[in-house]
Amino acid sequence: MKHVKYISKSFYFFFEFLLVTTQKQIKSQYKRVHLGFIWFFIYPVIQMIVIGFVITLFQKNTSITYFVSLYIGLIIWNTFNLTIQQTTTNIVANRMLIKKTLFPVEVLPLSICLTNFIQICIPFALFLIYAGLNGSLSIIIFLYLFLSLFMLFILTISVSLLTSSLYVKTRDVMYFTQAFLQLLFYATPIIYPLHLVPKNLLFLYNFNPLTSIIGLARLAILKSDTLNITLFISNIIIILIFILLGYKIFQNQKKNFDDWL
Amino acid sequence: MAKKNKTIVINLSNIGKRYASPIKKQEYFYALKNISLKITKGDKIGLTGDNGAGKTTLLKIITGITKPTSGSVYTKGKIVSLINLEAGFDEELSGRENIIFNSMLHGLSRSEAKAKEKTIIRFAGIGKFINAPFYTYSSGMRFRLAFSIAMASKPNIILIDEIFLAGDIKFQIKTLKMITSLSQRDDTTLIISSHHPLILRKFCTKFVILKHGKIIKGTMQNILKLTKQWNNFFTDIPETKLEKKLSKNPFYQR
Repeated sequence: MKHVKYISKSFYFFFEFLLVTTQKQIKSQYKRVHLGFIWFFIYPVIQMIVIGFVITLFQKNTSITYFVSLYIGLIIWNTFNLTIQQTTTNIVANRMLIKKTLFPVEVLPLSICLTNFIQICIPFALFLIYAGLNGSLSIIIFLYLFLSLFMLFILTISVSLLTSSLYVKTRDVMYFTQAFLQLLFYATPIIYPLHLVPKNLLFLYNFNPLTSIIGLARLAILKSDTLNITLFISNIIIILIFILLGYKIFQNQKKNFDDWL
Repeated sequence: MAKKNKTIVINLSNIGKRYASPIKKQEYFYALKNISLKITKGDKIGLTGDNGAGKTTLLKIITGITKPTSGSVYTKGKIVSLINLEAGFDEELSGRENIIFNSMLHGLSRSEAKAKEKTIIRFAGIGKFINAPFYTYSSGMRFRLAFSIAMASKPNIILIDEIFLAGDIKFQIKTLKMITSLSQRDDTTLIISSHHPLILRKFCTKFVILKHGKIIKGTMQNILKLTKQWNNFFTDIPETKLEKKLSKNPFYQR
């Protein structure tokens, strides 16, 4: 009983500490930023206009649906991309803190994931309010969006734990991550819809969980896509593999952080 | 009562710490070798030794920040390490905004930290600067706030690593007074790592000297020798001509 009490107290402290760190992260991120959270909306809008304009040069009959679809893809991609870039170097950047204080180190990458997750929830929450006022909100829309964001959150945490812990030992991880993210951007249906992908290449999307994450969000908002169950299940399996890998490797590496930093 | 004080709160048995050489690959060096130490509740331990002798590594092993390569560590009670007090501060945030996070780094819960906020601010004594961004703080002010936060967590075991020479004289005396009161408490175990023999003698009753990662014998004689060297260094400072002239002035006393 004493043991259970100790574990639950430790868990409570961990989550409380995570929330305080996230709060600190958000405050620090938006200090002296006059437009605050609005940047989170503006940046993908600029990207959408630029990419959308380039696409219209080749595809004359581009509809408004395409732009909305692009915007959804960009918001999700930016969250994933930004989080991975920030978390990869995060442990090393907090060298002084890790070497001098005892605290749950996992909180450092997790707080960045949570900060960016809170930011991405805002446009989707606004959409839900809009759909609610419009009378088009249904349980299915809510479920699809929830699933999409939950999968994104778990995937981002898993990859962050993996890259941030590996970066402590070898700095090649940063270059690899940057190159991989570039490749992943084009290997994810952000600027193009999945049905335009040649059939012989479609199997590759089973290994890219962002496909289902973006697909589910588009399905909720635009109702323009269909849910490919096989793709969805294989994407879930990939996320589960990443969770196991990320958690195991981080736990294994963190014992040596003080020695390697 | 006397029996209670004999509770072992830190037990290090055959501790060794090996690091990979930062210069040559596949080579290692030992920061600590076969350290065995039993510290009981209420002990005031003075830890000294040359630079690179392994003092900070030993403190980090006791805190749990780093794991020993060999041997075992046992600790009992809440430990607060005052190794680098400013490490958890965010430069962009104000002193007040930094209090909760840093208090939690020292093991306080959020509600405890909130409840102690006023006490921390009062002890730090940095006035209106508490609402200014941390990057505007002088090193003394940074130390004052960080030390106040650390002390508010009411630890059972306090590890202090060379922090006495920060802050202005007033705050240094305040800090020393705080440590004096801690050193007089039977329930608080204190480990002070310092090169300064007078500080060690002022607060500590037991001494450990490290050399090349090992505890050396004849500790007390070494401490006395260091004290003598320190005192001699300051007492033989000759009075300059200007000082002789100024000493006639009643307001100038060396």
